[in-house]
Amino acid sequence: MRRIFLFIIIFPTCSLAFSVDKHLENHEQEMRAEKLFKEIRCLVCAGQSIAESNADLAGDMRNLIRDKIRTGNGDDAIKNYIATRYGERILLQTPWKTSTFLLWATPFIFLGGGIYFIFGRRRKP
Amino acid sequence: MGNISLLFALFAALAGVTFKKQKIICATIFFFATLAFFALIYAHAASDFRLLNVVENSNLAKPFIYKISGTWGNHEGSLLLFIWLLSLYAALFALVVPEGDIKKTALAIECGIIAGFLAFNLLASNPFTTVFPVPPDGNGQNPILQDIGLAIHPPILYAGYTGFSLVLSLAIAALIVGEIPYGFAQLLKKWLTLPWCFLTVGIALGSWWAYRDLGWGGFWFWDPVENSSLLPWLSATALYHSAIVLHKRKLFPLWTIFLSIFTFTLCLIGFFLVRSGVLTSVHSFASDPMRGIFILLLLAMISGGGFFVFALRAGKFSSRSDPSFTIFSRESAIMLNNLFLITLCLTVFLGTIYPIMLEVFTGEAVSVGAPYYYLTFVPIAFALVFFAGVGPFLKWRDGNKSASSKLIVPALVTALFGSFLYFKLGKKPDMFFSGIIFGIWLFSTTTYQFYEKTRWKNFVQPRTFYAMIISHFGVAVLLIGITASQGWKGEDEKNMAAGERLNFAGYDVQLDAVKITIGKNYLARRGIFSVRKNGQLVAELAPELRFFPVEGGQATEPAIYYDFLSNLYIIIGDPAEKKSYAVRIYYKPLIVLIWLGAGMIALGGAVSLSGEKHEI
Amino acid sequence: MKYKFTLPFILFFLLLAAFLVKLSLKSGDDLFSKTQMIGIAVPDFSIPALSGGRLKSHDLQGKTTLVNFFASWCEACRYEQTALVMLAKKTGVAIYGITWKDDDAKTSAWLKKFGNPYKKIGTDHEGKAAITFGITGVPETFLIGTNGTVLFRQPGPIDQKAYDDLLKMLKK
Repeated sequence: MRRIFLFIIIFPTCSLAFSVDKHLENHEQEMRAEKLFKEIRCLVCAGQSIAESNADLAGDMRNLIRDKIRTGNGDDAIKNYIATRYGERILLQTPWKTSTFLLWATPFIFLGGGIYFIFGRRRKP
Repeated sequence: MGNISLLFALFAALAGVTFKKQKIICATIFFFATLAFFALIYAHAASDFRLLNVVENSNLAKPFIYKISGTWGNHEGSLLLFIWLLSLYAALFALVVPEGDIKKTALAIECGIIAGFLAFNLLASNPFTTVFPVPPDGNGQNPILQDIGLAIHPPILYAGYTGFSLVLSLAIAALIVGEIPYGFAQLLKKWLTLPWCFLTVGIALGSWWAYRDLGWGGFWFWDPVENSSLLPWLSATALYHSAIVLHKRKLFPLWTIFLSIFTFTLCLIGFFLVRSGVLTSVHSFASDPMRGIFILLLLAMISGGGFFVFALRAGKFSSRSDPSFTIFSRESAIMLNNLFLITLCLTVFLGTIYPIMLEVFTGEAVSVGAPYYYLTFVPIAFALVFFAGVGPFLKWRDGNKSASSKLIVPALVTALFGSFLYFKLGKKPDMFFSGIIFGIWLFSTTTYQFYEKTRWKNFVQPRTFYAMIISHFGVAVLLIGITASQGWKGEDEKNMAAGERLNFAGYDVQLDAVKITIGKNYLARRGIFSVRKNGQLVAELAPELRFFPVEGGQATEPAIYYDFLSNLYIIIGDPAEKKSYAVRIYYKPLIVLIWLGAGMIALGGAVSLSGEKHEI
Repeated sequence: MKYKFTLPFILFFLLLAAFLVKLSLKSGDDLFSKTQMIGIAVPDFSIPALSGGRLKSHDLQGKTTLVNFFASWCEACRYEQTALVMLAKKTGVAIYGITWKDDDAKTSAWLKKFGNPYKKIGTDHEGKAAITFGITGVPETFLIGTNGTVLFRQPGPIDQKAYDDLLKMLKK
């Protein structure tokens, strides 16, 4: 059962046919929209934002976001709206919070530690 | 077909961990592996629906070449391919390498590894399970997978992964035997370079396929499966450089051994991530938890065993605590190289598993995507590229500061270029700008290195020198390709009807007609576009939207025009009002440099392999 | 001095252990979250109804309701129709249907064939209501309490377990 479900949703992956979106008339708003699109993950296609995805759902979301921009919502409010419904995972921008501290810090801590190990602990030749 | 499985079992037993008659054993394993593998290929090619594997992944209408490549387009089949390659490496190694303790031990370990995978294939993922009653036709293969790039991508990638198992075996053998004999580093380097070349090409192929086939012009998505192939590559590159130091100065044997074990471990972890189902990805095979457990078992035995031996025996190799080289030496540069590469490796690894781990421990769900990697991977990669330009100038042991004078010319060239970009072309100094700058830096420093050595007349140089020059050039080219195509790309979309024109990126694009065509197993809507530049017709492009009745899916086939090194990329979508169709067009400047660069990197590796003697 | 060599070994097995845990916990694909939206108030929406007029979030107020997203093109939706019909019969709960990206004529035909437990059916052609509920595919079902908050969510068709859970919750 689950597999059929998956079949419906995941199978027609992201080479679905696309249609051209109706852009917002206000150019500034459309720019804002496109910037926002890059920050929202397409849930049906791994690794893509809704800016690039051809999927239906992505298109619907783009239209929804455009609507919300047109009716005067701010970027954060819109992101919040979507995150409430789909979970934080839908925001491509990895958040800065205590639980992600390790994620952001580790590469640099490792780098620093490595430099210390290699160069800091040497005896002068 | 049942007897093929028997043969399987026969050589599983043969893959015994013995020290005797290794050449014969390895040859036998290879023989039976070949038999089994080609039997499966035959079954797919002949559309033999008695086998469940063929039913699930093929159908009568599938084009012949994809029937063959479909053999490894699924979990069981690709596992068999993996095993076959493992046996090939082992047999080659057994035949070519001169005898010795290290060789014996390494082969024994390798046979053990092969046995493990065979057990996995036989017990948990058998491609030869039959189905009864025999269905008249199969379910077909996901149409996206029916592409030539994807046909050769797995074998090449696997040729990379499997080779690293041998590297791991060698390292563990050295630990067990208790010493690093003369020639070990050379041996390691040789058997490491071949898989590394394959892996480089494999990753590049995968990326090129994604670009050509997935329809939106992207070539890297930080997808867990892609990352899984990148991780061992980063580690192997570090290993290669570390092996150089081991060879030249006999330093850091333990680190080199550790990296050898680490690289294959990464391959196995990638294996696990992709096939166990802990991650969902467009790439992943259908999952089954039993598989995951088995792979974890393999991981525990192979890598766990390796690290165990390391813990036990590493103490015997106490490295000199006073490495006799100065800060400005080549040894230092290579250590930095290793540090950066391993940090990159760690970063990608962290980014890949963090979402899963976080969910397991705190239930939170976060996304780790391109934005994360832009802030972490990119700066560190830039640093790596910077030092790649500096390193080869430094001498071994004591690189005096005179090296810094050699940097002046490249620095000037880079600054000049930077100014050109900024003032003449008006490019903003952002991440993409930096990418080009670092690319130019590496390019000019490497050119200067070439000049310094050859002075434009003495072209007889050691192979390894040329290898370095070519590969480093490759990195520069790759970097420029990635940066230019991402930073300065153009994109437009419009509903176009036949006869309409679109002006884009200096091209005049006209949709001439939209037709329906019939392919072997699909129906397609094809748009015929003529592209003109400065009034001249430069290309006729025909992107398609294909419908596959049997598999029930759709696939977008873009049409690409190669304008020297850049691409014009068109796709066609759904019908819209007034007989028009959705059309999307992209311009990707210098994108060909990406695959050219990757090819150069691999070429450098091949060149180093071709050198008989072991010089500088 | 020697102990640093056991570090890779220890770290490695910690990693394996973590993988094992994740493997055994595997609660389903991470793209479909059962817990997202629980406790949130029903979002506002207003879409045309199949039988004319509109279906609004307002209609769901004041009583326990089930909102079921489905479509005639969706294979899996057929399997849960009987479950929905039975739930309606046994508990008398008001079930509202919302079709996603469906053709109205096809929907009507489908309902005749597979059963119609719905009090009212909204048609979401543009996917706005779907996004408002956080849907990524059909079928998907929400149990909404009298105070208008989402109590339960079933992504995918209603299987035996979901059916039992819903029955339990509705009987209360």
